[in-house]
Amino acid sequence: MRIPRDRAFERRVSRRLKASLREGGVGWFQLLRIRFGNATRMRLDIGYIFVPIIVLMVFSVVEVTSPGAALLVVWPLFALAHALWWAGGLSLETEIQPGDLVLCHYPVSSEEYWWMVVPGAVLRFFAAQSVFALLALIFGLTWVSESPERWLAIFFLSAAAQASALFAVAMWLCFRSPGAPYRRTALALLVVVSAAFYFLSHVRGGCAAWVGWALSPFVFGFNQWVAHAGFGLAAGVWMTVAALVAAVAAAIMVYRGERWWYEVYFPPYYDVQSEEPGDIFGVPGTVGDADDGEAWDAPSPSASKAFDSMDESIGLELRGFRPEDGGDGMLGRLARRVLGERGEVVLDFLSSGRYRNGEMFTVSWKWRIAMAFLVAIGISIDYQGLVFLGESALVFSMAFVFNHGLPGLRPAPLGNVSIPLLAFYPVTMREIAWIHLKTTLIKFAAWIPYACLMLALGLRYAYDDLTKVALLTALAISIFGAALPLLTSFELFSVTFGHRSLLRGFAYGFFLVSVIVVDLGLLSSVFFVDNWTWRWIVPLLIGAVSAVYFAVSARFLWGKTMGDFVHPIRPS
Amino acid sequence: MKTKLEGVSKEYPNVRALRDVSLEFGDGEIIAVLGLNGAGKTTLLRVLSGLVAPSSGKVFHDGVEFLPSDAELKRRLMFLPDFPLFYPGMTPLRHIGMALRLYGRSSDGLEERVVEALSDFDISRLAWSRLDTLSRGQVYKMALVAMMVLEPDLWLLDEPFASGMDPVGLARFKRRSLSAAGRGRTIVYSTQIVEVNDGFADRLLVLDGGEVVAFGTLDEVRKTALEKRNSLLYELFVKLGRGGGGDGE
Repeated sequence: MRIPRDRAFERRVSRRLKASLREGGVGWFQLLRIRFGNATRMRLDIGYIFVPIIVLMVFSVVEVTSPGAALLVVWPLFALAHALWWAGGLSLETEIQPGDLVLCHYPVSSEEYWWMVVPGAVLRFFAAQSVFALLALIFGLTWVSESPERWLAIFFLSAAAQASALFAVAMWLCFRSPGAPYRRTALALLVVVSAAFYFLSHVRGGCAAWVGWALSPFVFGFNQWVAHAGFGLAAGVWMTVAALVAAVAAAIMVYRGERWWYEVYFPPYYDVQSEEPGDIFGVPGTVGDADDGEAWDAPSPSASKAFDSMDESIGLELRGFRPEDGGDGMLGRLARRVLGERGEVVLDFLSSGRYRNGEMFTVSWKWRIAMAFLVAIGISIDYQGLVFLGESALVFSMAFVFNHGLPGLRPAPLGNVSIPLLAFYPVTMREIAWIHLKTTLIKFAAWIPYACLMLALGLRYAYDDLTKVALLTALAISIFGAALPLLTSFELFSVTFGHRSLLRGFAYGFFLVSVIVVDLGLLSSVFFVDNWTWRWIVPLLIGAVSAVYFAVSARFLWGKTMGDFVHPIRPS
Repeated sequence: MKTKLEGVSKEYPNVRALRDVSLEFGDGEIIAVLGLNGAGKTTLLRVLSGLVAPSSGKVFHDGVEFLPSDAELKRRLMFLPDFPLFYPGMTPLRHIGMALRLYGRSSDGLEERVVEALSDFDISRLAWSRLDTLSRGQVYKMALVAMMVLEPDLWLLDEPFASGMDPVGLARFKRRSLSAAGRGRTIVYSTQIVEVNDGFADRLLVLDGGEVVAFGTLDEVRKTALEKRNSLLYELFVKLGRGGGGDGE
């Protein structure tokens, strides 16, 4: 069950309207412009539909040409697909996201409401996740007989997929069902269950790693075990650490309720949902707060907590503020408290780099450093077995970067987050532009040492061509992703300082160059990859992905971020 | 639709939005709810629409106690917030179709009505546009069209005169509302006090701090105001010369 639609009715009215307009003297050409000029824009189903296909194609090619070696490509592709999926799925999300409030205003019972909103969304999300998990499992099973690390890695992958799927389900249920029957009970239950699953999925991975390590001499032979002992040991340690971290995370989840999810997992939605200053937002358990301070009758205690401790999660709430709302709602109060007289507090806050995704920015940054250390350990131990550690860490790190380091698929952080807000306050465009550039550069700078480390490691230790291809792909696409926020900075500066055409041209030129860099990086693999298939097919495939990526991102940036946000802002 | 409120109060955290509101109105009436910001106008409309449940007291529609979960009764009324909510990616046509479906109405034979209403409000050319590309006034007009096509028994409108609609749209809204009231529809709208003297509303309901300070025709409300010389009602309704009474003395 979904939001009902009456296509036949739309067609009938559409026909009559056209006839009516024609009678009113509107010409055919003009009518076409009216009909299609502002027609519903192409939605970003592209990632949702094509990414699994692309992944499948790459898998197939790799499996045929180099059996067993595909895993090194699987990780980054999986992560890339995941990131793209977020973007692709966004169209589906945007369709129902505001429904939390829209449907409240219609004669829909809470049960109907829940069924209308939740199951379809959950199923779609779960189905998409399952595609990847299934692929991983199929190929994982294919490689089980070859070496223990494949098996372990696949286990890890499937556990990660399972965990993310569970999170997805829980998240949907939490945030999409303010009218759900037994909502509070269900919410509490889901928090506990998901936390448990989250923990168990890591424990399972950890156990699998240790058991795999211990059993592999019997399964694969002692020599094989010795050759890969380092990897097995590292995987076991890694998974154990992960399980411990997961245990802490699970405990926090239960203790703090849904807010933890909100801070960590909700941002990808919000980044896109918050494109318009008029957007409606609900914070967990308090759907409607952005509108009137309360909706229904059961505001979650977490709402007031979130409000009271807003210094930690301010970025989230701020993005939901509607300046025209005045000051009665929670967000109005929040904005009043934060903005102060002239918005300096906001400026300070934003320039601190904590604006984005609440704590997410910080977490992501720390994670990257941690990953870099892990890679460094891999480098420092020049031992045959532990080279695998370096490489596995490398690939995992790349996966992480892909998952969390591709801001470009979402509109650039400040471009859609704070500019609409700041535009209503006495903050000049010049200030906004500088803040944006500063935060972007901080982010970019945080990424550079990590990227260099990856590159150095990859070039030094990549033990075959495939690894090099994967490495270069990861690196190039990461640069590409990192370049996108800079684009918004350029655009902002162009508005602020004039020379608009020049700066805009430069910005998009820069963007285009980053695309070319991606493809050049990929094509450069031709010079040191011997296998003819890899020479051409991988660059072409990844090039196709990057082209799609470029098109999608450009559409976001040009159609939304620039047009909708920059132009309405007054010049300083 | 005959509506009755019995001792309705609504409390938000730290705010008492409605205090013991009791009143009654019937078929074909147009009621203007007046009051300053924070007086409880919107809350009253939300309570009437079932969007918010009262903390205490009861609401009856046609003698039946109205509970927020009562979808059947909800299908007989419609609430239009001051910022109509919509799915950004939808077109007005799809939105209207969705509203019809959600209200369980058949769309057969409604095409002419939709086309006429869209034309009347001068938004025919926007019928295929995404809603998030429309201005606030245009969105409000679209939502009004949906309401007028549905023509529920009870219309609840929050600040329609501050909705961003142009004067032509406002005039059309009044004309169509009067016509609907003539057919027995009840219309309750919130507004600021400045435009109540045009004869559009049959009765005025004045709220202050969540309490009903006056409820009646313009003359009755003015009389009440004159009786309470130190009240906010007096200041707004008489001293400031609002409500068609000049200086009121």
